[in-house]
Amino acid sequence: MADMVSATRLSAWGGGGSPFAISSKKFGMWLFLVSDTLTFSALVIAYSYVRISTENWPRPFEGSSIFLATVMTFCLLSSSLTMVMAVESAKKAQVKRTVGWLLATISGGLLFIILHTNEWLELLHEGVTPFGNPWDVPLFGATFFTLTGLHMTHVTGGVIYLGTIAWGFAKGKFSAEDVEISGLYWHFVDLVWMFIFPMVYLLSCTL
Amino acid sequence: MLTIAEVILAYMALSVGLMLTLLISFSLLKTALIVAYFMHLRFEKLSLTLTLIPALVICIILMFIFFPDSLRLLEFRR
Repeated sequence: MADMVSATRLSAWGGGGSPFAISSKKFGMWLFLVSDTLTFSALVIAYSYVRISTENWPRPFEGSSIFLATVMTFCLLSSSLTMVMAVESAKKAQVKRTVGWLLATISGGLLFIILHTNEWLELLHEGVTPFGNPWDVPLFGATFFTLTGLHMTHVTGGVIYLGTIAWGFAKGKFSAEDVEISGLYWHFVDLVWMFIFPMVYLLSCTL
Repeated sequence: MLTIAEVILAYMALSVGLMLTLLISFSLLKTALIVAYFMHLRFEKLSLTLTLIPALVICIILMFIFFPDSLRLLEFRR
């Protein structure tokens, strides 16, 4: 009898244990990330489709733009690194260090947003809008601004999310796991940029 | 490191197809590394990876079915 009871408790189908042995919050974040990946994939593939079918796609990104974009890439990469450090120190329950690393991550994200907004303003100044541009391929602006705009929205949301987690963790309201879950989201944002950067910037640089 | 390689690659005058393949391979490599180590997926249960990743890859490949149509459109416009 005792054997049967413990067997039922251990069996996954019997209601014991959570699926994949991770908390439902973490699993929920993974599922959200998969669905968001599909959203971005759809946009990137639409951009690729439009680009393949257009002969005279402009290549306006000069060395300075590419340099800035590379700096932005390193911003996000290093913010991912500081995020990993934050998760590590959260697991060791070092509250001040965690908040410090989280603030470093947030500043990486903010620097990214500032540089990117600056670039947007420069492009708008040159006459590149979502609806038209000097090179007569309106879809260039449309795809560029949609892709980078949606990504920047995610970065901004992520910065607010991380700020909330940092505040809450310092007060003891959130656990180390919550820091880890916000880390998952932040790495996702970085990953999307890893795809957008080569496909939009590097493939459109002036040779 | 991978990023620097990508930027150098962009300025080399390769054929579009080759450059695209290389850039995307670099991005995929970066993705695999970030997902495995930064996002810790390597240290979770294998069943989680098997649940999430193959479905994602299949859905993305499904979207690739439209690419021959873009070539048709290119010809049509010429």
